[in-house]
Amino acid sequence: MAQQKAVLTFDLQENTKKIKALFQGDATLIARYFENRADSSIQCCAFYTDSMVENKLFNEDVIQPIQQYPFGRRGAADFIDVIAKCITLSDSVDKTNEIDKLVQAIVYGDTVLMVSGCNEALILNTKGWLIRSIAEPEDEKVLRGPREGFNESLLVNLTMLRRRLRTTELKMQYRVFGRRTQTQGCICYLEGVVDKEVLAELENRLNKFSLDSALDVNYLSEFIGDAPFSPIKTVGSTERPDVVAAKLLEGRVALFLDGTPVVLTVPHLFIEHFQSPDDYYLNYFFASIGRVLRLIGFFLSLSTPAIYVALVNFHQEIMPTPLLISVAKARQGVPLPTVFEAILMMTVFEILRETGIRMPNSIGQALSIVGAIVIGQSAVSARLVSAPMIIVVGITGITGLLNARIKGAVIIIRFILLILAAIIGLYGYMFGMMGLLLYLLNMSSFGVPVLSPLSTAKLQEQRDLFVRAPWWFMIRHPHFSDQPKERAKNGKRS
Amino acid sequence: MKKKKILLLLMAALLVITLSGCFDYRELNLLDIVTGFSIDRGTQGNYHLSFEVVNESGGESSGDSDGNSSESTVVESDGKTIFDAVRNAEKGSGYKLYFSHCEAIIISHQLASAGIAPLLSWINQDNELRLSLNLMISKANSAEEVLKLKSPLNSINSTALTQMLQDDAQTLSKIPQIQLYEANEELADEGVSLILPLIDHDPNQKKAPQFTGSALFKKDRLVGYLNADESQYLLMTRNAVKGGIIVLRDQQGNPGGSFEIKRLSTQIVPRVQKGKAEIAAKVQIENSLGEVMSNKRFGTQGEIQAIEQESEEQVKASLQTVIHSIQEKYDVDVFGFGRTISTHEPAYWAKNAAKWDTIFKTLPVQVSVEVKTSDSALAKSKIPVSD
Repeated sequence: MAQQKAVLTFDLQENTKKIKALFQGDATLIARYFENRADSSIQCCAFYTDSMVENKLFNEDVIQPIQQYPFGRRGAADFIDVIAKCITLSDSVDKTNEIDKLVQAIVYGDTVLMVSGCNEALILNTKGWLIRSIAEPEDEKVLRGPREGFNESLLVNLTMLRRRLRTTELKMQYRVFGRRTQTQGCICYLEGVVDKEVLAELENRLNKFSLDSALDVNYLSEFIGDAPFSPIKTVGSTERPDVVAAKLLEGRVALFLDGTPVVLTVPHLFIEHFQSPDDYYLNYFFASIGRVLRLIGFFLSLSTPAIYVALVNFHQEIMPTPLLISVAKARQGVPLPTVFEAILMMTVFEILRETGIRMPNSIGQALSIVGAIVIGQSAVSARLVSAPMIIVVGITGITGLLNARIKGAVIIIRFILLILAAIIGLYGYMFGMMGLLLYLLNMSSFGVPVLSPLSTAKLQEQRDLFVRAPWWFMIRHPHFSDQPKERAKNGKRS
Repeated sequence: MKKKKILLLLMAALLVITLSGCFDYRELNLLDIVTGFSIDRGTQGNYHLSFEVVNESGGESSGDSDGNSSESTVVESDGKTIFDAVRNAEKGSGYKLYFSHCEAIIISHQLASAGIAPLLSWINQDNELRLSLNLMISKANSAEEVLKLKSPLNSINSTALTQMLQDDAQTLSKIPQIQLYEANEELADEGVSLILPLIDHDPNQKKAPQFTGSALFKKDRLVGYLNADESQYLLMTRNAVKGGIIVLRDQQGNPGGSFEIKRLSTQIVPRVQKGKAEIAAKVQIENSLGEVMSNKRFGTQGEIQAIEQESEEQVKASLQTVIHSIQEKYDVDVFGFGRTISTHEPAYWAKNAAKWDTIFKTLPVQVSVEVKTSDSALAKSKIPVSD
């Protein structure tokens, strides 16, 4: 439905009335009337939002030059051009007569300048509000490497990215999301490396975004993800500029959003849950050990309760006799069947973990004492749960924290495997794992299978999977990028 | 409509899984773990079984682990058959005996003399019992009293017995370790007769068990005993010696030294000449000279060779004595000569398998021993003694 765009007229009074009508009830809109010293027929009105504007910029770039400029004998229609080109010191000037754009500019911290007798207004950049300082993101810490993290301002984030990729191949395209929030987003990619199909698919899916607000990038990711009902993410996210730069160099596409430090990257492979920026900044040997530990931790976190329940309740003949005897002794007098014990303790652990995230620091000590010592120890002494179960849940919980990014999926899958194992023993567990594998094999993220590079079955592609090959070995871009060819001279060091 | 179908499918799957699952679900604290049991003859022709069951409530809270507290109790029961007695053990207790960790079965020698095949039937057929459990014959008055003997090795008696058998192979090699699957094989095989370890009270510590030798079986009936030293040579012929000590005697017949067997291999070579069978047993021993108590010197190559020569003769003599004595006293081919002949000379075996026991009694056995001393431990030559 094509609407007639609201535009300005030549009359300053009418224009200012229109703007004020739109902002009725909003007390932070300031209208500053002023006129030129020499020629008092040149009336101006500047609109801005209180405290979003840097006052110095406003005073020195807008008010002062216009008040002092000797206009001479020019026609009124020229005033706007003259102001834009010769008078105002502002670094960014936009000329428009659409009221929509003017309103957008005012609410974002720009100043709108109207002159009597002109039907166009100027939008001057005077943005100056407080933003959070750059700090290392809490959940993506590294031992060694840059400690910069994104903050909530889109331009600052884009700057951080551009400083790392000083090439004209880096393309940034703005988009606006959300009817009410009008949030500015930006799609970034490297021209020569990106997979064009992924880029096209991403733009396609973003067009389907239909909410009226986009406060955080997660609103978007739920619209564009491949498997919306799955706990496993097919859209990656990160808060670190070095990670985004690395992913762009591999052929992925990044999506920034103003107002949130989290940046989306697509496509997202399963192995990316276990990759940490540390892996690339440390020696490849230690990095590989860390990677293997994380994978083992993931596997343990999924399986430990299920295997324990299966062995102790169904397959007692597999366990070594002394172990079986001590577990049997520990279970004397415990009222609950093993399954419910496991579920109970896992729930308690998740509650403790969730509380730990949100509690104020002052009661941190009390919580750890209450949680670990009182509940754990007393539960065992009171024979509510058996001691081996505490060990099992402890291992499960700690290895779950090792891979924080996938913990949502792990909690759900772990529960399902536990139930299956409780019903038919190790058979159930094996079927569960096979089902999980099939599920993962079927998933794809923007056209790339989620289990690649394992599913490509090419040796060179496995260089960053279970271990991290040395940098002089990683000579190709990933297979899904447009150029899976050499990115370095040869695969050897010299 | 599609959503409804998926939902129905999901519900059906859930029903199938939950209704057909859990069939094997056993809570641990309701199981009585049996680590070993004994079979005796009871009153009125019944069988009397005693089960060593791990004591579940021994060690009250999680910190208690002193091994001296009695870790196992003995549950007794009677029954007309073995299976009957096993089920009768649950009378009133409500606990179901769990046999998957059973390691040792002790059979009294009275029952063994009447034949062990009917006893082994349930043990083989039940799905919980392992084929790798150890069989033993009790030389004491009953098997039950042996089951109750405590060993300092382990607070669970059956585990202690199993450990003793396993350690023996490495250190002494005087006691055969026969597991259930081996016993099945030897019972079924025509060419070899079963032997089982003998267990009795330890003469030094009345309350502890000790393995005292081996029992010889004809078909499945106990017919004879061998003491520990003779069992060593029996095992040697069977090629089942992995370690142990051979005592050397000097000219007067007194013990003059001992060597430790590092590796022993026996080859039984059968020969059939003119319809008559002969056996040549070649024993190759690699040893290390552990102890020389007499005045022999062993510093040079020639001296070592002299010692080797003597030991070869002595081992050969002992072997021949043991083999001949078994041939004379019993007509059971415990050495497995028949098995070897059936492999190497099938034609002869086909004709004579039925009368093998009689042939065995007069079978000529040639023993040859080869000894190689690889070292003499830490001493290069005889430790000098002077004023």
